[in-house]
Amino acid sequence: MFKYILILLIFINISFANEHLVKKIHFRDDDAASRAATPLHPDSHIKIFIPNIPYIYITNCTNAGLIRSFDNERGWEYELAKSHNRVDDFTYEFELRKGLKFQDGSEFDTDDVVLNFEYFKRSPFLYTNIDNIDFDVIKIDKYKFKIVLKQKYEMFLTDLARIYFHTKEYLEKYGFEGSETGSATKMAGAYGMGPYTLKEGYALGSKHTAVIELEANPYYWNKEYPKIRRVTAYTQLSAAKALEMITKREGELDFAPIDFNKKIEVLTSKYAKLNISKSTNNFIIFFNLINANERLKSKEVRVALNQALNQENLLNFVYKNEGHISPFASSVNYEIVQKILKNAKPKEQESYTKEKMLKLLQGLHLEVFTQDSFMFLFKGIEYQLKEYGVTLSYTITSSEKDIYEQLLTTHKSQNTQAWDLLIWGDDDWYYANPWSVLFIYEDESAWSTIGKDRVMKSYIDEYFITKTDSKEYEEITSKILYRAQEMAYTLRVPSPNKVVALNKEVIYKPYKGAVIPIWEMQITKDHYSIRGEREYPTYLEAPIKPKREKYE
Amino acid sequence: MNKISIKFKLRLLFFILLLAITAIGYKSISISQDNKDRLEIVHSKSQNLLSLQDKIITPLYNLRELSQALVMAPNQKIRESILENLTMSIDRLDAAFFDYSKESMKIYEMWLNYKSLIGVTKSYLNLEFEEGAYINITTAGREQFGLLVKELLVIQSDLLSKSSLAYSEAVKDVVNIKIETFISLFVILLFSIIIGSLISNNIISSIHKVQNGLREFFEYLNHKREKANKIELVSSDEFSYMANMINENVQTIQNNIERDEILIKNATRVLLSIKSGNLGDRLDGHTHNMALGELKEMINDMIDSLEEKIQQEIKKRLENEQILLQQSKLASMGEMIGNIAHQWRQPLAQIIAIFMNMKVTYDFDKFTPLYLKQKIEEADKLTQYMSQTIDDFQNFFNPHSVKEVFCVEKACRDALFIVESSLKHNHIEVEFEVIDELKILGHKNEYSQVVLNILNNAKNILLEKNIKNPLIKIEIKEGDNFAIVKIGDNGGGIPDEFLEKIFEPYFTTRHKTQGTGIGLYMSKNIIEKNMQGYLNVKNTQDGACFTIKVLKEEQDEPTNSLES
Ligand SMILES: Nc1ncnc2c1ncn2[C@@H]1O[C@H](COP(=O)(O)OP(=O)(O)OP(=O)(O)O)[C@@H](O)[C@H]1O
Ligand SMILES: [Mg+2]
Repeated sequence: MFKYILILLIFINISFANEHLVKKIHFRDDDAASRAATPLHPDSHIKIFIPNIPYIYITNCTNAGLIRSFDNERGWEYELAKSHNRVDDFTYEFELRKGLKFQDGSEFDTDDVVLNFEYFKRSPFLYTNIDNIDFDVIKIDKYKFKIVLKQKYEMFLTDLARIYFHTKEYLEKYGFEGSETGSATKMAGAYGMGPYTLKEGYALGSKHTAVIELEANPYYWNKEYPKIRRVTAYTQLSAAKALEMITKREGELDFAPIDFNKKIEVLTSKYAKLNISKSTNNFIIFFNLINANERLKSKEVRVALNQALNQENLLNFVYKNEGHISPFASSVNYEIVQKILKNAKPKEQESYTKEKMLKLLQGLHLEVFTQDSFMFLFKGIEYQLKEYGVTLSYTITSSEKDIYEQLLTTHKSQNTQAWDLLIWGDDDWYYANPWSVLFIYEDESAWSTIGKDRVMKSYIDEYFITKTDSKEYEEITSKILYRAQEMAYTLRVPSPNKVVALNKEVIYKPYKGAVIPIWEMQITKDHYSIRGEREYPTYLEAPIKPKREKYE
Repeated sequence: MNKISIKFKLRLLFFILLLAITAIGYKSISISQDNKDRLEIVHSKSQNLLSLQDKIITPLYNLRELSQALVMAPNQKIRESILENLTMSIDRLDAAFFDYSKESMKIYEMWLNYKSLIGVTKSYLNLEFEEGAYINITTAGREQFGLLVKELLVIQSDLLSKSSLAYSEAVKDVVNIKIETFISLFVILLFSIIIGSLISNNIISSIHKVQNGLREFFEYLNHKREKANKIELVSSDEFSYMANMINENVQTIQNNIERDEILIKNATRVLLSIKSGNLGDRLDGHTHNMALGELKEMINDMIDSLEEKIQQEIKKRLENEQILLQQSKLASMGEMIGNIAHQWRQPLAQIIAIFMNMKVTYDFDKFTPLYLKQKIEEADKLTQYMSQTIDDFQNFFNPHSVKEVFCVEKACRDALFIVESSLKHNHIEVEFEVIDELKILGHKNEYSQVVLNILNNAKNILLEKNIKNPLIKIEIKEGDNFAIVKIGDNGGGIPDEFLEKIFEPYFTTRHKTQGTGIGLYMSKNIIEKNMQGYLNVKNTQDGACFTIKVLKEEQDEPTNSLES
């Protein structure tokens, strides 16, 4: 009894400031949303770092299509279109929103749609099958038109989220050029219809400027967005530099994906908070089967390499638990993958003995081409492969465009950098759709480094024409995934979470896939860009309990 | 004191010793009791220290380690097992700290706070907010732990200094006790030393006197002293009895020794007289010493048997000498006859020629009385010569032993004369060189005989080896005090292995011509024993060379000096 009274007394005592007692580290809740500033404050400005596929993220902001990728069940919502109707397998009818304007203020209607599609058809992007599909765009009236496919093609609607509209001026000046990496805006200017206007710089797949400046588009159809006046995007900071900018000083960076092992630094920063979310993004480690180490051409060697990796240890020690083990190259977080894993009986692969693995792998030396932000992962892989006598050497770049330059030329053996392993931060750009990964198995594609695989080709051809809500869709996706797994076309690693450092005064809700909804971002009244002379309040420097989907 | 017996004195001494030991024993028991009390104090102080270390500090570090491991645990399973340990560790520490709260409230507060921080860490882990747990344990937890440990270490070092204070006090006490002990020991010792030394001095002075007496006696026994004095003791204890006994014995022994000394002196005298050749003396006198008596008997017996043995040996020697002499004479006789034969060969031939002449003359009738007278005269001369020869030889071998001073040359010539015709007959050339005219004292015949022996040996070798141009060389010259005769030949010399042996009796190489091997032995005896000279041999280039050295006689002044 005495003990409890004593403890009680002590706790009363502890609650007063006391030199010999240390306060626990209190993680405050993120209250930024409650302090949101009025949108579009004239000084509002954030700086973000986009190390992977900046062209996707930037065009998402600067451009608009008929529909837009979105975190809902179907994976999209209407953007410029108000509604649509699939008349039959080949025919789509669309109705545009009223009063749509380009970023330069000029009006937009069905004529612009038809014109843009004409340009598109001349030079479509090359990462789906749309380049092989002929279709007609038929104007019905100023707001209505229909698209008639001449072939069966089930990915058309999703492709539409990536077919952006440009002003006539732009089209006439710069034309339209689809490529393996899409059809991003080539020049800064008010040429698109997205929430932000490209003010400076550009981001194409294999080319981009280090800094891209965006400005809020006053003519954006949805008056709710954007909420911040100016956005500066960096594309090629080193991981360490970005971390330093966002954690050590205020005002240098507001958004940056970080290495998993840097979470603590963000958590303990005065200015940054941690935002972690489950994602459908992928880390793809390509095997070069075109012009690299001959031993890689042996399926057994590739299988052995895959088996040499202890996924659980990778997840624990390299990912710091920020991810999920996936049996495939694609993220396990895709709904369809979840479904497949739930329904299909997993095909058991032969598990190699250690002797066999050693025999296959001993002395194997692989040249790795990577962005510095993936070195943490390769260090983990190298450590595990070392046990089997595999050694790695590295060529490191801080810019993704260097990766593209080599990756996209390898299928024609035109790469200038020799590589055996190449990692690509394959964020889920095709949005909520495993095609983001599967397209690397399309053997005629620039993204493929696996050479010819007729079986795979037949599967992919079928994939193109399979309705996504059908049972067949699950089957064909499963076939492709298992085929890729069996052939060990990539070095499989766990599916990563999105781990992002944010300025504490930025309000942000991540999307699952490769969309950074910059237009949805907000800042608080205490954000450095609009705070004026005021010091950053000390109480805000306390660490924030990280947002994690489980906590939501 | 002098009237007290040693037994009583020793008892007194022992009693004093016992008293001292008891006093010291009592003192040491009381000291060890004191020490035990002090050690208990030191021990209890260090026990506090230890229990703080064992119950709180060490487990606290362990808890710290566990809480860190908890955060770092790679998987849930490991984490759970760590958690189990952690909970146990916290419970134990809780109890320990609660106990300790009586001592320091502050520490208990700190512990509770640290515990709550671990609780926070655990709750973060439950929420799978590992980063928060990590940060909490590495910042606030670490800090609180640091403060707590620092506080504990301060207390620990305080306890340490307390216990070392207790220790150093104990050490100081021990030093005091040491001094106290030393003083009491000193007093006890002083007391016992004084009493003890009084008693022991008394005993020791008696012992010293006895010892001195004994030493004097032993010195007397060892002949370092003429006489052993009596031991004088004033006391009437056991030592005085002992001294009396020793004195009596010393007297008896002195008497015995004196008697024995007389006997030994007698023995010395007897032995001296034996040494001088008188074997007739014997030991007499009386002794109590058995061994000495036996020795006396044995010496007497030994002298008896020695006398007998010597008598026998002398007899045997004389007999041998006789035989040798006989043999030598026989040999000389043989040689002499040979030499006479040679000497006679010439006159005999002339006598035969005279007879032949007489017969021819008679046949031719020219035999006249004058002729006859003349021939008889001639023959008479020859026979006279022959008879002279025999005389000469007889003279030479005549052993009339009168010492005389004689001329060395003459002696040599006499010897040479004996063998001369034999040498001529065998064509042996003789060179005779007299460098100095010298005289010596001795038996001339014996000396000549030696020269003759050497000449004969040379001749024998020269003939035996059939040497071409055989030569014998005789040289007489003067050395320091000596008359030296060297007789050399060209007979090839003596083989090295025989050089030592040729002077031994019966050594000969002349087996064919029946040498006896006595010649040189006798010669050496004559020169070295009878004449105190030297006879040596050495090999020269082509033969042997014998040297005879005998002290020369100067101006008729005979010297008996044997040394040179
Ligand atoms: N001048 C010499 N040269 C070589 N050998 C000699 C000479 N004189 C003596 N000897 C050796 O010494 C030996 C001993 O001599 P020694 O005169 O004692 O005996 P001997 O001549 O043999 O016999 P004998 O007793 O009949 O004289 C001889 O046998 C001989 O070998
Ligand atoms: Mg001889």
